[in-house]
Amino acid sequence: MSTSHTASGQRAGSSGHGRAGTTIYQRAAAAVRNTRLGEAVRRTTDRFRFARRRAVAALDDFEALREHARRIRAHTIDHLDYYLAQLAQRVQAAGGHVFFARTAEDAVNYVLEVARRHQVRTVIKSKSMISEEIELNHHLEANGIRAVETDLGEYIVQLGREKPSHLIAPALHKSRDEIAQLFSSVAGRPLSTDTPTLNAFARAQLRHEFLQADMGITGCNFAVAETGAICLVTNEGNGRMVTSLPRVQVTLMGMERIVPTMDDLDVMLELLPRSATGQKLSVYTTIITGPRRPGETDGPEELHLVIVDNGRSNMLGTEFQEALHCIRCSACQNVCPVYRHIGGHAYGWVYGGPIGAVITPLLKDLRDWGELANASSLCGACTEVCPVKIPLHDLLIGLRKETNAHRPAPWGERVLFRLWAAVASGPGRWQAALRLARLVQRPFLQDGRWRWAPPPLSHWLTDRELPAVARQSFREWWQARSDRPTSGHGVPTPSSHGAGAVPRQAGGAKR
Amino acid sequence: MSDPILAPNQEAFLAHIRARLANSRQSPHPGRFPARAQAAGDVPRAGAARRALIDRFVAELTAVGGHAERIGQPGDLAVYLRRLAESADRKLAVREDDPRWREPQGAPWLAALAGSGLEVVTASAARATLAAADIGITWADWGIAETGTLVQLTGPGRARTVSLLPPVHVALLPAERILAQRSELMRILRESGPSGLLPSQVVLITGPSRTGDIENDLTIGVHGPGEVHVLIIESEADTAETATGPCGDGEAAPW
Repeated sequence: MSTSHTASGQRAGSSGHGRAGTTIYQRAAAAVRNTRLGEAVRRTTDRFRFARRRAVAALDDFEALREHARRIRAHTIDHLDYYLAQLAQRVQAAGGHVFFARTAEDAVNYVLEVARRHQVRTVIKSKSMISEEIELNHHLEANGIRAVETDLGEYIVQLGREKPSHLIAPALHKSRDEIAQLFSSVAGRPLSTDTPTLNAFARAQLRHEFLQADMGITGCNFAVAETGAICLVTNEGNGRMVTSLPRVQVTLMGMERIVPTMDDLDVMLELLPRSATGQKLSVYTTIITGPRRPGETDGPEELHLVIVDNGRSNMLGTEFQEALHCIRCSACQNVCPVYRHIGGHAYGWVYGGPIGAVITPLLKDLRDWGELANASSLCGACTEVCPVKIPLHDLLIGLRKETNAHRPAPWGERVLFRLWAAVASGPGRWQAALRLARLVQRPFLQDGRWRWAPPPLSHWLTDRELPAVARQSFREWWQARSDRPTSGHGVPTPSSHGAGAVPRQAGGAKR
Repeated sequence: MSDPILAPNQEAFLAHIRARLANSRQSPHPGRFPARAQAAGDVPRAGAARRALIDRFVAELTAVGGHAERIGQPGDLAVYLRRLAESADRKLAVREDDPRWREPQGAPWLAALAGSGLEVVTASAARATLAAADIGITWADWGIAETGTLVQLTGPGRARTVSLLPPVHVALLPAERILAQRSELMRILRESGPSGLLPSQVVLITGPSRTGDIENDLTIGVHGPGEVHVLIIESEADTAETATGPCGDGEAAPW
């Protein structure tokens, strides 16, 4: 397993500012050119979104359930301090330890300290997005502790020295050939590429790790304030292994992953698997309350719950607070036309898709990451499927505003918009501009469309095309045909703009 | 919170949250948030309602790739296990050291294990033995009909790994322990146990372990058992049931 030993160390090397020196536009362009990636992303997201649609349609009143879930989430986050205090008290009452970590560094240091105290050499991990956020594997390895991911997808991603590219299918970008290659290098012999062989190899390899690891680290789907329970939702069973076999369990929890009561947990369990994979219930729903008790023969002797902020509180009390309602189901990723074309890695950090475009700039830094909010067509498909009704596309618009408020537009853009404002605010100037455009556009046209233009328009036209300004505007056409004198509607209306720009609807252009 | 013991950093961490929320929220105290309206009804059900639940449980479990079988006698268990053992040369089974095996009603079932031809060890055996077992045998605490789900609780003698490590899991589920919905389980969990403390682990098992992580190709049995067999124990009294059911009687979950 020396391969996985070095894996996360290198992966964490690409920390901080995304992929140094690249923008979302460059990463997206590269991803779009990778046709195999596009196929893989669409195959998996299609399966998930169709399964979700069926699962949701089978419910009596999905909309009422969604609304109830939204209210639970809004209420919980609005009283987060109260419920976190209750949770901490209940976890301690059940014999667990609680640590509040304001920063990634606090969380990492606490985990390292627990590991040192128990002389831990190997850690087995079940899926935790927050451990990706704080680059825990890197820090464990740097301190001489092996970290082994045990979710099959995470294991593949770890061997490939990558980050997960989807919330619940972390290795969806990997082909079976690539997976067979990774596994073969661990096995030291060539493995065939069929699923049963690859699966059997991973099972045997990881079974060995499960049985000898000293510490288990998990994420947390939901913590329940009234009982102090930690709920994990998995399909493979690795989450159960990690919380049953090692002596010590550490659960990392984003501070917003909490519900007040068992009833509320039930509502979330109704929504999460259906929204994620279309299952009525995931194979294993594990509800853990404190460490092993007297008379029990397995389970951890010590349980630590680490409650992590790491930038989440930036969203509290702002227009972006609703982003903390997210239950990480991935439904928004599966329907997003942008995510479906570029996959998760192009977003540059650990969270992709609409929810990633919202929370990454807020968790990290608006100046460096605000551009992610442009990775959306604002079609609203994300908002439509969100099981807790987060208005994702509204939040993206809010982020665009916020980002631009902090960053003055380039001078070219400013000049252009001044010019536009001047031209569009007077009917005479507008008509004159249209006449001018008809002359000027000729060298740039191809089949009646603008294909290129000098800067600064060139950038805009790389991914789009603009219909040519028509030979005759709607207004001119109307005037020529009509006997009626034009009465004083001098100001161009939006529809007359449209008539000028889209010849096919101007009628006269066709005749 | 009245509890004076605060976790490290708790005060500063929560004070920061409180300060951030101060401007936006209506009231500093959450008050009571209304729970979802639930269909009322006797839990668990008896008579025809119970038979419908059994049917639903079987259908749902089968749909997710599990095996369900209705049995009546301990002898049926021995026959089922023998068939399972012979079909794939399985020899070693591990069972929980569940108090139910030692109860008067449990003893004949324990005897049936001996009659299966399998070597059966308890969960207190060495971990290596446990890991080598072909079959894990448990008493399920509850079943949930709407999803075909088994519920296993931890407790003295109740191991987490018996239903996890072996490639085959066989669970005994008395028909009267089948609930209609998961929400009923949540209510039961919440209301039982000493001082409101839940068992250290409650696991809801819905079919065999699965993954789609290799090119979205559904695979069964990646870490947990690839086969889940639920033997539903139906009693003759099922049709003429008048008892209060396991919610209120002395046979309730042993935590």
